[in-house]
Amino acid sequence: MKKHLIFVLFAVFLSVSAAAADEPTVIVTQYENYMCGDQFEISFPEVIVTSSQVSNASRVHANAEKDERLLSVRIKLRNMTSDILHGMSKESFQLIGHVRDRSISYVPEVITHTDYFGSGNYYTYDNIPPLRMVDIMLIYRVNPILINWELRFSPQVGGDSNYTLKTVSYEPMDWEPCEGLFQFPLMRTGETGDLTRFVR
Amino acid sequence: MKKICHFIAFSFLLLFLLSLIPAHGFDIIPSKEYPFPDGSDLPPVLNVGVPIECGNYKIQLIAQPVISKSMHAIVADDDMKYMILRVGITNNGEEAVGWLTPDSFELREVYRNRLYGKTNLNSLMSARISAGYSLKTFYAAIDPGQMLLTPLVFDVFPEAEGWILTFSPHVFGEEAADSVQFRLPKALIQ
Repeated sequence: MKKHLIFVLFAVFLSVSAAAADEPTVIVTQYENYMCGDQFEISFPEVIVTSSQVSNASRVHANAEKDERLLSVRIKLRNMTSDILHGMSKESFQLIGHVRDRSISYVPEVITHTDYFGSGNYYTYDNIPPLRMVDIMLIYRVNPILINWELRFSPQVGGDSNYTLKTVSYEPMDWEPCEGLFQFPLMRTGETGDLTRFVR
Repeated sequence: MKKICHFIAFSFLLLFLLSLIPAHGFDIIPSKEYPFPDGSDLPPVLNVGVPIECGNYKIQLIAQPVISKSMHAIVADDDMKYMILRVGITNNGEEAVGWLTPDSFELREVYRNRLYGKTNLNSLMSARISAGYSLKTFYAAIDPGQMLLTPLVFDVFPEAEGWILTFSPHVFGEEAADSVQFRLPKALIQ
């Protein structure tokens, strides 16, 4: 009888421990490229930054209000499928912040090409061509008390209709689901340049 | 009781085994560990100054490829840039040839050792830059045994990780009889 109970308890332990490790998770290393499944290559070339304003040479993307911060995440993304990735939704890039036992998740307020100065171009996050590495800036409006930031990357298509790009028509694409959690070990304060290392 | 215990244990073991099968069917791994194609099926790099034969012609790169956003005060469209190749094309035949067509030259992008987009020669810009540098255009006549020094211009996406040039020389009204492919050496990006 005892033997059987031990056997049962061991089986329960194995099941619970296996169930705990569900979502693929990595702690982000700068300059490291990651493959998420077979269809996306992603990297984080810069430390995440909090600031009160995000702008590039041609425009101000966002301003923080009182008790808010803007958190920018720069990613490089490569679509490894043979189709143009059209209309990626904001839910594809969920940012999660933690403090004590609380977690809050955000979707980006702005998604923009990092170095893009024009407008209306087809080569933005909204139309990611196959194989080319695109450089995207994600800007989130967040609560400054949160720490231990992580990004849940789960690419989803925003639109579901056919579309045309210049003179070519495309069908919506299918892909294998890819969902991964990328944990950021560091954060930089935009105004002072101070680095904060997260302890997990 | 014994049977119930066995049943419960067996159920949990089954659950454990099922959980070993990845739910998403994928994992996150560093790209350097991912089995990308090794590129062994791609043509080799043709270094500057090394001629390669193609039927009655020989082609060689005279200088390292250059990628530039603007040329002669003309800015490339959208996110594209100009790829400028300075090539030497030698006529190994016994008769003078001329009027090589623009589609004698084709460029293809390489990403992760996979071939992707095709780009045709921008013949207008090629002719324009030839005039700017007092060089002959790609369609100029080449006497037997002589080399034509000419620039070739392509509109490219600069993010590509490499380029393959296909040279299939033919004049207007004729089909290309021979073709040669080579990978370009590293480009200077301006």
